[in-house]
Amino acid sequence: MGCRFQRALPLLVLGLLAGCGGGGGGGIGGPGAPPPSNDGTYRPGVFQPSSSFANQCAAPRAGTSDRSGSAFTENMFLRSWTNELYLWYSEVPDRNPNGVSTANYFEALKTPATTASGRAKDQFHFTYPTAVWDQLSQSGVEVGYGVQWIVLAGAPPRKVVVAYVEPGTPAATASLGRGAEVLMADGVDVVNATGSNVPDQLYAALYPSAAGQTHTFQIRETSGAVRNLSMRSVEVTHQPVLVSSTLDQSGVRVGYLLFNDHIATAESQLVNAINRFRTDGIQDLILDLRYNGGGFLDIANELAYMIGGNNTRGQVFERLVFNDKHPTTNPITGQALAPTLFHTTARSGTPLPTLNLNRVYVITSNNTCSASESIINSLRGVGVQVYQIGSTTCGKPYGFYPQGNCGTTYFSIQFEGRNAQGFGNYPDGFSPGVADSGSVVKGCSVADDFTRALGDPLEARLSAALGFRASNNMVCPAPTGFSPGGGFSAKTTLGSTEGEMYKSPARTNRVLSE
Amino acid sequence: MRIVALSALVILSACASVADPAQEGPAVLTEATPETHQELVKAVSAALNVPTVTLAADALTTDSELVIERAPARDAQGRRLQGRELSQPEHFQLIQANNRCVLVQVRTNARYELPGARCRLK
Repeated sequence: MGCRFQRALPLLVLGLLAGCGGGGGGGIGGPGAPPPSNDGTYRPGVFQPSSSFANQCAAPRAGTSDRSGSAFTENMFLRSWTNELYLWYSEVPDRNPNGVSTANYFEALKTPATTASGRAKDQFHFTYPTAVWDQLSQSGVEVGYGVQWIVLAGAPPRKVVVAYVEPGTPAATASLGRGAEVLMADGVDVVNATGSNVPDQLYAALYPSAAGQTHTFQIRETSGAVRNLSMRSVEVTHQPVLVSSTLDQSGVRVGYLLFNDHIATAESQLVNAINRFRTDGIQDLILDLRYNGGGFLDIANELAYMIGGNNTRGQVFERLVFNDKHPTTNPITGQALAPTLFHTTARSGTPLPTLNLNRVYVITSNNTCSASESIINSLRGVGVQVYQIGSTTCGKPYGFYPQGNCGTTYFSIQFEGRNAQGFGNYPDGFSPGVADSGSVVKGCSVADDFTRALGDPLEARLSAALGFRASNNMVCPAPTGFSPGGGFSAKTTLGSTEGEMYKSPARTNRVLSE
Repeated sequence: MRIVALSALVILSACASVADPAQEGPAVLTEATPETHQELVKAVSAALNVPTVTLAADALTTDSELVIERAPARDAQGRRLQGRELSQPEHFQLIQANNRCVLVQVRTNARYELPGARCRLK
């Protein structure tokens, strides 16, 4: 394994690269392609270097490297950049960039293909205001109340419930508990209100934009009791490892780890948890990633190593694959494309503790995404048996180096992560099934259970993991679930309890609607 | 080329701020006042060349290390836009050196004194 400091470029160095306007570009056009033209005009099938159009803006920003340009030059930049770096560049229809808004043009710069399940092959094509994207914060610090809401239904009749509450936060002080349903927010009927201004009102209350804001709520507890409360927003410091406990299962010790976010501060918390598990002598681990949407890949790498230990040492965690113009070199960093091995040390160089497990039970949902999925995929790649309990993961084996141009930062898929066996084909997510096969992972399909605390052995998904393990990984429990406000039902479908997690106050993305 | 440039930066920064290691060590702030917080925000922002940065009100009061990363941006489902983050966060450490509170950017070894802050060795 290489030096820790050569793992990746620092945050701000990457930011500067992204602001340079065009990365790579090697092999543009490819053998047999028409000769490039640099006259700045659009010719179908001819792609000039993206750098020749970078920072030529319809509305140049003062004090930046922006120059006078137009929507056409911005579109030409995106067209060439996509052709250089987009993972599926050859599937993108070459559209004329004249007379099209840049937002609309970028939206079409992706593959129109669909996956085996019929959903869009590229579901991760975004823009973000550069000024917002470039904001920095202390690791894990976000304005809020310390509650993670889950939106089970975004349109009337809406359902917004509490997934978890972090200790020492305003939500904890207000005694909010998992499963509580929000009925009113600042006097607005969360469930039934209609009108164009309602989503803004709800967002303002649920996701305060600044510290020091007080908002009022009416909630219904899982007991059915209804009460009013108010919370004042603060800069919450998230606790990415919320629960780590050892459960005694008929004399066998089983660890339970609720890991919610791959932020930098997770490293020490994960190390502490693994050390406790080692002290406790656990024989199995249940890793709960149901609310973990990813983050630093290094953190996923380290956790996978700590779980697998000797099963992973010296082996490939993941290999990045870019489009066929860049088979050997990372087009952004210029570094050779070498597989990333499992990290055996923390960032500081301290050896990581290990459990040396040859199997792990992973609790998942549709919010289990990206780096979280790479834990599953990487461990499977080196022969560690993964059992999946819960529901299908989000299906994001892809990543990108965001690119800024003219005040907008663009996200366009540039690479795929593959495990030691070369597998990275899970665009429809990992799903629990009766036997391992590709993206199907042996395990149990179980709905989320908001009636029990996370870490409670009776909580449906944890209970299922424990039961499945006790049956020698042969028997899944009957489907169960909980629909807040509708009571517990053995017939509840997974879909009704697979809410959309929304952690950020950014207003550009909406899950609540009129 | 890029690694060489970064290494040169680190070396230059290190050379520019030689201190007696016997008189310094990791430290934490003994009080978290708005003034200290502002001083800290200013130092981190200067180190990273950004207009401002969001810090917890109690930053560096219990831990000598301060980690800075990109504020999380998420998609419509609440998942991180950058769910496979390949970059490294920026690390700072508060030290007490010659009875002064100094913030050190670990990557570059650049030092930023916090003249209004009070700290103690941890």
